[in-house]
Amino acid sequence: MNLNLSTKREFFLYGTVAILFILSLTAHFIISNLTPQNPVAEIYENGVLIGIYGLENELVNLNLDDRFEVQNGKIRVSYANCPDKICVNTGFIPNGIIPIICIPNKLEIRITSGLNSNNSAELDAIVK
Amino acid sequence: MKLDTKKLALNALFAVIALVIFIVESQIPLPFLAPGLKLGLANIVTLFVIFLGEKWTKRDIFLIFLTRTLLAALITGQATSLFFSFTGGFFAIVVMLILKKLDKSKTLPIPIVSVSGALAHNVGQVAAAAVVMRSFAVFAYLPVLIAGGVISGLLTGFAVHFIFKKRPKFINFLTSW
Repeated sequence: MNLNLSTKREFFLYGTVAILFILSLTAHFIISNLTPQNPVAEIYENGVLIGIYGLENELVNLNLDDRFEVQNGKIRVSYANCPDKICVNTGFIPNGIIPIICIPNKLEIRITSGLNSNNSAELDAIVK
Repeated sequence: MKLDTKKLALNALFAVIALVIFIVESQIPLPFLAPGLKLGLANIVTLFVIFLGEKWTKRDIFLIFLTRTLLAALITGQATSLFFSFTGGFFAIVVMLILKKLDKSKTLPIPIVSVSGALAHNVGQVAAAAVVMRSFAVFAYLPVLIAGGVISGLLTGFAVHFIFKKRPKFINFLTSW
């Protein structure tokens, strides 16, 4: 290890970077494992809620070019017409903190703990 | 402030080198970890020019960067990514230039400047995404993008560090005329 790490300052700088790396990985690991109670998937277009889905159903069909797939309490975008396919590549999301984002279509899928009585009525209405 | 011919030719050359690196990198399949996370090897060129010395000004750096991102967007055909490349790259260059300016003794290691730039790039992109999506949910990706920024910043930083350490002859050609 002879990467000019000799001075104290450099040691401090690289140490800070290493700590930042470990902290951010830890934070990512923690938020990846948070699961809300009674999770439902909320689908937003342009920041506006356009659909809520329970996560037991098989397939979701909104009037969109994107297709969604629900499996074992997780949801993913199975098809999208955008060029970068980032939303498809994100794969299944299991929890509420990390959303699926499709920037070209301004689409966002978030999982929240959904079921108070109000919400479930709304949910049924939209699913029908 | 006129751009002399040699400078113009070299700026074009740098932009094309960065573009080639960008295209080659896009052909390397890497596991998908998070949206927007990639090595960003084309930034080796930006970083290299920043550390080339006084002959290479802010204007050259932004010119090379703008040419590269514009051409990259034309080649890949992804108009949305252009906006994010611009915001991310702009933040990164500004942060790296400020750091270099503050570092009067010129002892700040290149990889540290590079990591700072990479982090600014990723934070800038997440902020831009939050604006476009009108949602703060995208900030959930910040931790993994910070971790990724550290890795890619160190990689590009050490690449440039080793170029200057080896000091190949072409550096004299680039800094004196």
